Amino acid sequence: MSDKPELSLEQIPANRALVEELYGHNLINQETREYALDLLYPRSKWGLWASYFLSIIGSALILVGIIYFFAFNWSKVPIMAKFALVESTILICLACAFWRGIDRLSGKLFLLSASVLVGVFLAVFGQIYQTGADAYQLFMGWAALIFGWVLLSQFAALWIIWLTIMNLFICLYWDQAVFPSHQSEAFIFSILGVFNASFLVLREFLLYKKPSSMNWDWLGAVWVQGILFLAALIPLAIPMHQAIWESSYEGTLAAICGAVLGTIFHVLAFWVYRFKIPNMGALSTIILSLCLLGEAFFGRFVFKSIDGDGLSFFIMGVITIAMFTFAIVQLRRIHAQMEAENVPS
Amino acid sequence: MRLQALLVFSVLVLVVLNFEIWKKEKLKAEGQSVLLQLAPVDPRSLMQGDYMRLEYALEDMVTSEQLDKQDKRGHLVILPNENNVGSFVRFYDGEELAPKEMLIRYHKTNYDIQIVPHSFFFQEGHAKFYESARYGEFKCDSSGKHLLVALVNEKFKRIIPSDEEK
Repeated sequence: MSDKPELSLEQIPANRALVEELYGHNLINQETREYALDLLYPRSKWGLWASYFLSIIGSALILVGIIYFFAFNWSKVPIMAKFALVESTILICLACAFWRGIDRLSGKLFLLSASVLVGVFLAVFGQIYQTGADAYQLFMGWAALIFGWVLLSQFAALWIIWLTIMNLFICLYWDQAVFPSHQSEAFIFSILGVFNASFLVLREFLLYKKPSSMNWDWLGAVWVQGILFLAALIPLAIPMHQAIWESSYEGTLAAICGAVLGTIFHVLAFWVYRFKIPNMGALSTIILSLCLLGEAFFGRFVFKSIDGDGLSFFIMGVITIAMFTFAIVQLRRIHAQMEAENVPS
Repeated sequence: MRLQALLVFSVLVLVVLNFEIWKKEKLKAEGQSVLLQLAPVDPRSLMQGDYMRLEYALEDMVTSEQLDKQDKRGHLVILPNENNVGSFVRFYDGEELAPKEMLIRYHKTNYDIQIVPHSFFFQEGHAKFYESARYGEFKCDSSGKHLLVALVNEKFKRIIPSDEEK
């Protein structure tokens, strides 16, 4: 860390952590601390936050209201009136999106509403014409129709909704159109995991490498990374657990493929979030996942080889305490190292 | 630039949605009507919330030997009787149809064939009207596309729920 270039004062970002740190070391007094925090986080910001929050809740409630209106008046409304109502609501949302412009949050929210309403339209369509059976077609159509809006929106929430729809589509398609055999049904986890992981990689790439002059800051929110990370980690961890627990999956190509991909993901993600894009949240999640895998591994061994519940649970308890203590010690060590690396001396 | 692209996408979405409505309405108006007998269903266990699970007697008329030779998706040839209830004749293989014969699309699962839809949606609380359902009324076109338009009771009457007798 000594070979890092010296940073000038203006290159050090001022934030709450920094102010608290200075205050904690008695370098500034209470009054200065409050003044600094007031300057960094002006009170008006809370008003802005509240107004964003309320407008998001408000649009969500309106959407829910529209959905319930349809659900409870189903057979009384003539068919074309149902379509007309949904379509005109889509049109109004789009018109408002144009009016506000899609660079503003309100415009983006209108676009998001229009995207959700396309799903409502397809659900109404499916019910009126009783297209029933293949639910994957609804999600496929939905994802395809709104993809253009999603691309243009530069809005992380809309992307997450789109990804959720795509995940549902993939799951349903796997069930309803592929008809996997028992041998291959575990492939779905690898497919979902790789699909979601590719968007995580894309997000980190765009945000940190900035390949073009476009503004990628809208991808910056922590929750975006959190959701994408979990959406990739969980499906990739499941086949690893299956490989440990379920003997019926043993040796199937699907289980092996999933377990290998899962291992690769854990290792790569650890490396990236430790050395390339330091991120304590992601690292803790990986270590938690590794602990759970360790639990499963020891659990299988202990419960299979020791008779008597009392003893095996006792041994598992000891193993659990040991493993999690070790994990937490490691995490703290990593945390300290990362702080040392990232705070210029 | 982004707004223009947004406009293009929006028009595209609305055109697609309305085109889909138009296609279904055309089939409904111009399609040939046929009834398919519902396989015996136990209404108590099969009524779930606001939809009803459907199965068709037609799906059981195919033997597994016949089925093994078929593709995952295809068409059945069916022949309506005097009550307009269709029964299985053969798998369609591109041949000329005899008069009155009709096509209906199916897909294969691991062990049988299915004709969509396998569910019928109705308004919350309307389950009692549909307990007498014996047939599904379909509209079919010459290419084998079909649309379930109503459920029909044992007297070949369409079931139309009415809210008056609540």
